[in-house]
Amino acid sequence: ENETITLRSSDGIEFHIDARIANRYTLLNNWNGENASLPNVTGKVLEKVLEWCEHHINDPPLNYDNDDSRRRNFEIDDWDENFINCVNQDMLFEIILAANYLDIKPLLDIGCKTVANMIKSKSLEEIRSTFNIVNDFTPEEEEAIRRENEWADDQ
Amino acid sequence: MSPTLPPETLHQILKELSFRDLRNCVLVNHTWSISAIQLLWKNPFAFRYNGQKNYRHVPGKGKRIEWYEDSKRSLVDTYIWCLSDESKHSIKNSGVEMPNRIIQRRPTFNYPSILTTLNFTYLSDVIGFWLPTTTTSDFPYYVVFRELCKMFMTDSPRLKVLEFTDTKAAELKFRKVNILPLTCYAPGANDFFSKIVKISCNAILQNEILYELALVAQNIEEINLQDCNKNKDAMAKFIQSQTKLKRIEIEINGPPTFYLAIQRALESKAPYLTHLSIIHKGYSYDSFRYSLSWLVKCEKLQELKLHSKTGFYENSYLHQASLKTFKNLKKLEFVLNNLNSDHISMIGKTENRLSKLKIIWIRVNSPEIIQITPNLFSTINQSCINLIELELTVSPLALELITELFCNCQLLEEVRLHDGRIRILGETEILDISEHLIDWGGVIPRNLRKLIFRGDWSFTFNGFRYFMEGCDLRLLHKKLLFLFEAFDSCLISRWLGVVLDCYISSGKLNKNSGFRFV
Repeated sequence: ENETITLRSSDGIEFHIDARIANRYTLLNNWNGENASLPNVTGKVLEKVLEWCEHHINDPPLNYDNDDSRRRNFEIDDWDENFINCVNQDMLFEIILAANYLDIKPLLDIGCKTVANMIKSKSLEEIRSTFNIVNDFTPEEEEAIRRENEWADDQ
Repeated sequence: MSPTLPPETLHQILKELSFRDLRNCVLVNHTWSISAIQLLWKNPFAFRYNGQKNYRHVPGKGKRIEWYEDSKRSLVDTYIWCLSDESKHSIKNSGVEMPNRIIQRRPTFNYPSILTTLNFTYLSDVIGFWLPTTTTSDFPYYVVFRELCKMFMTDSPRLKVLEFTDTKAAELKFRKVNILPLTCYAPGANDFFSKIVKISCNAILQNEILYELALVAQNIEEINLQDCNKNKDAMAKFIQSQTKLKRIEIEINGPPTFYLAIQRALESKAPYLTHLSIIHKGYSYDSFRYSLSWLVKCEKLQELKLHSKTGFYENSYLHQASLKTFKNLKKLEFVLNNLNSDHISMIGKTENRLSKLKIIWIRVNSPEIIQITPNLFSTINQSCINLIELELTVSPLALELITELFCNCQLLEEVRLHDGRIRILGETEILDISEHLIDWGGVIPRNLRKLIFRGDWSFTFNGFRYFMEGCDLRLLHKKLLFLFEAFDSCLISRWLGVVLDCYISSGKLNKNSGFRFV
């Protein structure tokens, strides 16, 4: 009775998923079919994304036009917390990119919130090293921007 | 290196952060900087005023106000750097000493271009801190204010919200709004004010400025008025001159006769309003009361809030509106002295379109209300099955009616129940709701996330255990926020808190559950 649809990742791995999952997220639904494949998502990432979708198959539908509803549903529950903490940072970013690309908003929200939590109360140097970011400012530029935004410093 | 995130995703991440964290992000690298600056400079004035941080407790001296003088000064510094050379010279010529490094400096980003909200009261305060303490005349103050306003008017295309309110008036050291210049005369004023879509103001805004604004700011969609006793006629004129007004929030604080002009202005905008909120604070005026018969003209209303605990309105003020069907009404809120059948009939007419309903009333024990309470509940059961948020006064007699309400309104996510009793110190009895809790557990709406009780209620351990067993089966691992907002801490047994803590630590309840005394 459960209809399935087929998705193919960029590296050619096929996933047969419950049609109800695809129905929740319009974009997944559009990719159903023989020759359709998702050019931007690898099998490894798609597997994690679909794992998340499968767990949330019975969630009440979210009304994204309504800000209230988005706010109310924005608490990361235990399962999601566990899910997102078990992936490494590269995978976390890949999942965020895929969720953005596939328009899976609740997963995108969870991913963004997780990254935001990684930034919170960290020093500048800690932020750079956490995300492997190279400082591309000249010392003069950095000093100028620091001065201009000094007011936001917590004393 | 992690994959690069698209700008809109980075923006969504940074949106979650506080100003302090954002300040760090500004210095990470170019990409982050641009994203963080966009958030930090939207409404920078709010940072030092809207937080909880303006008070500090000093041992032995009690509450003290934090001025954050350096922070306020450096905010103005940056905006001064952004000024044109001409403006900088005007300030210098007014007698303010400005070192050459300030005059010659150009900022890295065009900060004014990001500004979306400007609070004039806060602006006047930060300028007060920025000027040297030796400044005795008001002239330099006026010049700095004028030059900054001129810059915001020409260089801040995203500035759409103006505020003239100061919710924390007591915390402002410099409040020279009396010299708020008539920016309406400045070049480009027409263009600037015609782009403003939201304005909030109170009695601070003088009549003459309001009359000027009425001529240039006519495209406002949302008005928020607080305490406008002193400028009511000008305010009425201002409302009347609007062409796009959709949302009005008004706080009334005087006898109804004061508001005739404003009411007439509101009535003239009625057919276009989607959101209307009239909050009446203050005393009862028996000699003259209001009818809200003009509400029937609000064809497009989506949200209606009427608060009046003191009988500001005449008894049948809603009668005409209660006979009408508001086809777009989604949210309805009454805070009342006395519930009557007009309110119930109005709820009935919404025919399952409401997503939010709030009805709080004071005279819980009056005989008429006891008589119509069952009617209210049956109306909710029949006509509000799509409710997501519900806030309700529940008399002891009505507690058993909640069970059926839960059965009918299965989409509920947030429920707040008030016991509504008038408290007499030492005489309020605590009400045991264990029996009802057990019933509610079995029918609890499946999406319920918050259940909040406001009043002196209590329950037994067994009652709560059965309630939680019901919740476990129906809520499927989603943690409920179970909160008691009690008035009298002496009445609540201490171990109930311990029971809730056990459920929190075993992961069955949201971690913010518990007792809070109000």
